[in-house]
Amino acid sequence: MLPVQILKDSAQEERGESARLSSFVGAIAIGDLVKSTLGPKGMDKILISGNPESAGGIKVTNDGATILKSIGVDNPAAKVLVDMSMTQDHEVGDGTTSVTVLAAELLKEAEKLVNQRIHPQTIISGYRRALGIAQEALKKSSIESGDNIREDLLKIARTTLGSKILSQHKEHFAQLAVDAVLRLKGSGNLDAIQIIKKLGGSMNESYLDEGFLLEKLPGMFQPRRVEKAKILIANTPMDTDKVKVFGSRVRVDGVAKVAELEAAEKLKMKEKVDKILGHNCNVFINRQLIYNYPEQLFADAKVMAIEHADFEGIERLALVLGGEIVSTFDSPQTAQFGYCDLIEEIMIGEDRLLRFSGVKLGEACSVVLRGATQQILEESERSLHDALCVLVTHVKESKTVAGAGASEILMSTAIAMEAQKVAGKEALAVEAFGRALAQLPTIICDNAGLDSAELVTRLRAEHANGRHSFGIDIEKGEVADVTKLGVIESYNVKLCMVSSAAEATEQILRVDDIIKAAPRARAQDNRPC
Amino acid sequence: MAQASAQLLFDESGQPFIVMREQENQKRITGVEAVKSHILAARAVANTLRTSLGPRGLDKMLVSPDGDVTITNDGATIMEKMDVQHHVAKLMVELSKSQDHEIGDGTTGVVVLAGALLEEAEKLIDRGIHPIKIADGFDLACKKALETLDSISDKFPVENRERLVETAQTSLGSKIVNRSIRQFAEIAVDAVLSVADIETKDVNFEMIKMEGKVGGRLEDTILVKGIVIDKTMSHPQMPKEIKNAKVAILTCPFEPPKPKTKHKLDITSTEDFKALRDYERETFETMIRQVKESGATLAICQWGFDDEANHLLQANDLPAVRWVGGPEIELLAIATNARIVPRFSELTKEKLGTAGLVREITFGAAKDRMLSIEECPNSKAVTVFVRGGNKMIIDEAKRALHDALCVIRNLVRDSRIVYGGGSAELAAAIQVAKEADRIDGIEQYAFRAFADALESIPMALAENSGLAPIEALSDLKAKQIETGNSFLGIDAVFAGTNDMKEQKVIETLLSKREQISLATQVVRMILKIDDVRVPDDEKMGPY
Repeated sequence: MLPVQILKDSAQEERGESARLSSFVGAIAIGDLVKSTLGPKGMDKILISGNPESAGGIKVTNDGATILKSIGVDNPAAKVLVDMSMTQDHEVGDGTTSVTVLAAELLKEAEKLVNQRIHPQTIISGYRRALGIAQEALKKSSIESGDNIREDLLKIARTTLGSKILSQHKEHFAQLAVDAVLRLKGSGNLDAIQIIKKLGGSMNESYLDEGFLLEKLPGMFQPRRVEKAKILIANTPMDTDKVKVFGSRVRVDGVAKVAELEAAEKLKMKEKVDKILGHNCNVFINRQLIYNYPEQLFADAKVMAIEHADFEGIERLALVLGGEIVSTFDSPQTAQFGYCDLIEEIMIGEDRLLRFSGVKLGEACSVVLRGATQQILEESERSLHDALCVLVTHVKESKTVAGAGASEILMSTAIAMEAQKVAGKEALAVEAFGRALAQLPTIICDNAGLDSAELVTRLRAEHANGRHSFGIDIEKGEVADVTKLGVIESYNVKLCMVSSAAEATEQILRVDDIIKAAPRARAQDNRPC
Repeated sequence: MAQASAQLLFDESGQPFIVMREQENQKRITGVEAVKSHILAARAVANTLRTSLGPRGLDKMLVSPDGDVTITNDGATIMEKMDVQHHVAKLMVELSKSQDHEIGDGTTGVVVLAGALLEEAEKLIDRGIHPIKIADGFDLACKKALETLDSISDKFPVENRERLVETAQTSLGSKIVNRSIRQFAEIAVDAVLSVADIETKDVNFEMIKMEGKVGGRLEDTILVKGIVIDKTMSHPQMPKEIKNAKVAILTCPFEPPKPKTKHKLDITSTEDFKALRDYERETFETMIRQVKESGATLAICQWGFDDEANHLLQANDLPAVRWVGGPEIELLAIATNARIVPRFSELTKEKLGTAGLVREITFGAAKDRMLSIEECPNSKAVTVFVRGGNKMIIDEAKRALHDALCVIRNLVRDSRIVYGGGSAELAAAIQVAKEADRIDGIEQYAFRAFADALESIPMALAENSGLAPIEALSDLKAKQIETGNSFLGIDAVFAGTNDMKEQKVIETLLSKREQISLATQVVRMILKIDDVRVPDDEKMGPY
């Protein structure tokens, strides 16, 4: 009898125990990878890009999502965790490391239970029950920010930034981030915050500019400084302005005709510029190129013309200046202009930028980041972005919970209490969930070189005695009331972290069979993941 | 392989002549050998799916050729992505697909049943029974089983929403969404009920759109009475919310006209150039004027806009959406009662649609935005908006919802039901076994085998739930025969009772019938094959 081959040649199938083992191993490896970056004393990772084209190709980061994004994983379960971390990044911006570590810890516990011959579905239902208890406990402990929202925002920003590269200057950056977010007036539109990175100087010199900075310069011979600017923001071709009617082309039978046509083109351009000038604006900003002929015309009219403000830039400008993006210029009376008090050139480091100050809508602002190396700049941008995301989330639902491991232990003890009331094998899974949660503060302590066993047990005792605001004071290496220390976190971020970790764990636990299709033959893959 | 070498024939003078082209390059198996090898392959596939059956079945993780991960419990999806090479295994894939197309649910069950039937058939072949006899016996037994199903089926009150939700829950129970099962079941039922035409028993699935966005939790999944499209207003400064919108749906681009016949337009003089320029401007203006004059307050366009047109729209307070896909355009047209207009000149007031509320919705910290069109006059079109922790969960939730939708649709079509938990299969098995004794001829054996195969479904359920399968099944069988109660099934979720009526585990008769008859058909087909030629794939390329 011939051997029967069912799957394609290089396709693989792993079943039962071995499939489970491979997903556990993969997921736990991912957890261990990012584990050491957790907490204020977590360490960074250097990522070297496998792609030789990207210049330098080196990243130094502490951000879980960035690390996971950059390592190409092959293990399918690991991919689930990476995906989950990305989602956390998109949704709330921070807690990307915690969510991965928690999911890995949950799987570690689950592995032990599976080895005790407990059905994965039983573990799942136990985890679900535990998740419910945890969410309930977290909700109960959350405090509405109320009037002193600024104070709370500052604290949250400090907590978030505490574990990043910016921790040395966290006070400065916390102020900066909070100011920026508060300017948004609850709209939560992070687009309006522009982050400009400029090499040189020290991180301390980073600042929030009330106005708006544009990395573009006006054309030659045009005014460098405009007061009481009336700005027309446009998206229109300012080169030859070709005819768009399909299939048209120019056919001439003599040099003279060419010259005529050229003149006509020039005329057309001039008419366009005249129309624009007819709007009586003194600044003209275009998304597309402005050729030197119209540029010169603008210069003659003493109008500042800025070309090639990219799409994001132009949208942001329109938002900031309160103008409308126009593409036709026939009706000056209806066009909406943008206004600002002063446009001037400023120098940051060696670069010249345009600064729009006294803008109509106070919503937008620019943050100028300074730093010694490209890596520092990028990492600060990521950190600041995390902080901004968290703050925006908090502005939407302003509830806080205690940080520094307090909430994790709080949930863990709540689960431990409830677990005693659960009958059946499920109880084991519920307990396991509690243990996994308690692992987070343990890892934070370990990373800080503290005696984790001692501290976490003391912490647990405090919580069991009803002091729910106790957490770990990493600086002093002891248990303390962290709300007094100002270490608080956004309720939403915590909730999202616990829920998505549990969801991903459940998904991986449910798998008992991995079927890999034959990989598509193709050239070297340089993309992440 | 004695038979295979016999293919080489010799003529009178002893010269070999070739019967089949390139026969030395082809693998060939014939007779019982072939049937057995097929059975082995089909069973291997069925075994993979077996552990996914039932509320406590587990998922499969599938890695695509490009490394993308899918985690699913849905039989049809697993089979489709399994990258199967074996020809008979491919038949099983087709089997699960056709169940998916026809019924939408029970794709795992059908494969498991076919696998079990083949397993039984193998035993009979070993005893020397001819495959055709077995196939015929199976056919007869299948008829008997279907009769039994009909006789134990219950009438189902389709008007009762609560009962429908319970049925949907049975379908969803085996999927990952069972953490918020009630909510998903309600979404499925409401979605079907809002598009169903009870009188003609017709459910148009095209009216139910499923849209997913990563983020949030499964619990945030909602049913929108209207349409959500993954697009935004064409100009960043157009209003984000429009009330009582008059919608013009256009399939012509806001661009200078492009005649379809090939043409060339030569510009030979300055006048031409100017004329053309004016013409261009005029076209844009006419387009906008025509739209504006029709009274529209929102233009939805299948194609793109030119920058100038875009601004003109904005300047004329005419919000617009561009690059809306074909199916979405049709849905929108149905929902808003609009006519799809292919030319600007044909746009009239009557062809406009209406919508109570059109708004952009934003998600999370990312800048994702979507457009939702609600309060439409034709409330039939609905969108299920799925949220979840990651892409895989969303995909799986969508598949699960699709299954549940199918179940409800089948109920609307045919309101008869049977009870789940393997009870229906067991009842049929008992009847088939009884009938077997009355049959003379070799088919009797096939009949018994069929009954045994039917029992494999409750057996797999018990196994997956961690029960002792043989014990649980024999207990159950005794109970069913003793009480004559066909609602007794495997208590897979440990609810404490075997009565599936009480546990409200409901499946549609349509789906069960289809499962049994499809599985029998495929098994018949596989049993009837006795000769396979497979070209050596390395040399012959794909086949």
